[in-house]
Amino acid sequence: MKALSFNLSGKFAHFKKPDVNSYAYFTYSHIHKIALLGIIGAILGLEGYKRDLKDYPEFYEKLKDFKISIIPKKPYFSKKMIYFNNSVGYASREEGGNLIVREQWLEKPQWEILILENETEEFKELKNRLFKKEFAFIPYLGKNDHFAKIENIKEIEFKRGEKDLVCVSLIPKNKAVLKKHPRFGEQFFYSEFLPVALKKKFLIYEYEEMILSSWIVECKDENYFEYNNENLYFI
Amino acid sequence: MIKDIINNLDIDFEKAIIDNYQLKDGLYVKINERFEFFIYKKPKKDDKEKGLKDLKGNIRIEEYKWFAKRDYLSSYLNSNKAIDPPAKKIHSNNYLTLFAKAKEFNDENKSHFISKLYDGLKDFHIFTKREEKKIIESFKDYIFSENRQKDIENKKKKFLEIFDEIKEKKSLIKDNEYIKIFFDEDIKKYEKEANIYFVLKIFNKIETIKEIEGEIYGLSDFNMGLNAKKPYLTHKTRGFELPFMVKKDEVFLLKKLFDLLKYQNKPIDIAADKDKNGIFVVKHSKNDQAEITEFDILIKGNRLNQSFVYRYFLENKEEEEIKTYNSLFELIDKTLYNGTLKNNLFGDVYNKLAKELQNLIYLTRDAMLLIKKGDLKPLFVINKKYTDRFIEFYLRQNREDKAKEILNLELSLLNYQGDNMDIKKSLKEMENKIVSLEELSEDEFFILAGQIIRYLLNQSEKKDKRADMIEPFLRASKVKKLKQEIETLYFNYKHKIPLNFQKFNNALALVEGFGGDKVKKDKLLVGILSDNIFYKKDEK
Repeated sequence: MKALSFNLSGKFAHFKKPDVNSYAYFTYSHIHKIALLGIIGAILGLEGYKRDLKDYPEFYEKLKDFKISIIPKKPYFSKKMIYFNNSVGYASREEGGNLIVREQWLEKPQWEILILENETEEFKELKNRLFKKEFAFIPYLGKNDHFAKIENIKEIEFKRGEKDLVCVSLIPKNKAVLKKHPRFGEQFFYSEFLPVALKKKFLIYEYEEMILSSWIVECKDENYFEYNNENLYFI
Repeated sequence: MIKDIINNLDIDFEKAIIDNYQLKDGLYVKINERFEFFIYKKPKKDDKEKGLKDLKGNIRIEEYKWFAKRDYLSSYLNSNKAIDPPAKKIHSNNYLTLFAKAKEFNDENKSHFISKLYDGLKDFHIFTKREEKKIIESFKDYIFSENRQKDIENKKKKFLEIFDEIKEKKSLIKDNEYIKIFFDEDIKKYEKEANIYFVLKIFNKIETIKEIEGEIYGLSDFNMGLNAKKPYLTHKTRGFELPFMVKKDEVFLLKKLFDLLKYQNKPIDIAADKDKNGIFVVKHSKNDQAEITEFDILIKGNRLNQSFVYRYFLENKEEEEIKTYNSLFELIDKTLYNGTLKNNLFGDVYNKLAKELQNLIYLTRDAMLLIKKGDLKPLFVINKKYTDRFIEFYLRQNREDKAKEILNLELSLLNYQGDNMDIKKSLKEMENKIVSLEELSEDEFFILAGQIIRYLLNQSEKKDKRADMIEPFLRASKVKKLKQEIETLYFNYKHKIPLNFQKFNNALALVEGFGGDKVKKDKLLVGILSDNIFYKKDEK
């Protein structure tokens, strides 16, 4: 099996959680599939969300069947609450026209992203553009305040998973059977409800609980792949 | 995020809410065959239950839960969701209760209460929107049942009977405290009545109810607002502008979570387990509702990978072993911040603290918070950058014991990172060099300078040695300046130094002979705070 691989990083990132807005906007701890498809869409020059509502925006329509794997370089990126003003005038119609914004940002996040090879035109185009570094739009991490750094672009080959190994990528909780802990190394367990799909027409997120842990995970379906003596999962 | 919190709180929400439920101050009336009056005033120290008294002044703890359960069910969601807009005088949501401010209990409002509460909720005709009518239609068998209709008439009559008596008792409480009337009915009945109100009002706006793929969704109303004056609260670019839709059967769980948070006084801090993540939630209260101000997912257990050893480098004391992130945090809070950090992790730092300490808290607290989350790297950076400022702060306050503790902590942290420093050994080596007048290394120079300063300062016969005596040395940033200050100090106290005190004379000569530029303050502080070599008798 082949996949495109690149390193995705930045100084900061903010992947907005839509569930609260009264005090601050919080961020997911890691990039999620939809934000990632958005970045790929930006590279390819596909259309994003628009004010007139169609079934799906172009990027999602064309890329939603891509199989991707998100491998965090660190299980935890520190988060910090950032305060700033939006004083453009139309941001707030209250007196003074100043909108105070609080946002939680991730600090120095870094992931390795794998995109499984497929037959679509989009994939060919993506490969082409990645290697030539010709991006249609500037990719960013959740907000255009945070430029994305894409580097170390390569094509890698690996095989289907056969053994129970540590899974270094995000994996849906219900797909992971925890077997045991490796004898060495630090223990950690991350899980969070992350967006995995968009609802048609309304474009609200559908969620799935994803985990990342130091456990050895049972390799039990065809979405597992072995690479560098570790397991990966494609979502 | 909300789902992550709900998933992580492995408790019976309803029980926890009632256990922590806080009644508001006011007059409570329980109506069955007789009328019973109670006055609740939140006690300052005691358990909240002890605040409930009858009119004779007897404490009635046993009634607290009865009221708490019914009060919780019957309160309106917020003032925008009162059942009697635009007056918003009734703060309850069903005809079994009437909550209103004491000042509203007058003859003018009597008819208001009757028409909005009893007549209004008899057939829910006060709810006129299309979506509301649809919901009421689905409850119609219950709402228009003969029993219920009769019951409402009965309650109305009773209310009219008791109204004047309540009006008289109004003087027992303050004007803007509550009068709350409860009919003595089974909790099930309360649930049924309140449920109709909640279904009507629980979403942010009833107009936001949408059917998505066969299921009913509505805009969440918890920590979520669409203030028309802040256009960016809606998702302007997505097409569908409502930010967060909740399923009809999940929205009640959200309500329970925020009700639970409301009575939570401390941050929720659950460390991760082997196969479970932890969470960290901080909230404050806004308009009588909980608002989440800080959230994070914790991925490490509380146990440190490698225990931290707090060594007493300056004294001969047994070292302490620290095994968890939380106790490390506590040690640091106690040592560096005098225990003030815990309560000043968020928001404005308490302004009665010393200015310098306030500044230091602002500069360092984010890194300290990360200790609780299992990330020690920022702590190490802060240790190198700021601990000397803490030491200086306490030295200026004339708290040498505290300064020593911090120096111990600083060195222990460096030690934890693998950077060893053995003060006793380096003092010993330095002493040998002094005797033989060998050249000093840069580090040794500053330690020795610190020792000399300390020794000279001790010669002062002032009864109460003031912290500003040390000030010029803390301020000196250039070696030249430091040497000048030492000279001045020496001339002040040289009459007290024995003529043939060879060790001291050598040391002074070595220090005078050193050429350097910038002062290494950390080493200087080590010299000031560690055992003074000039007091030691020469071993023979």
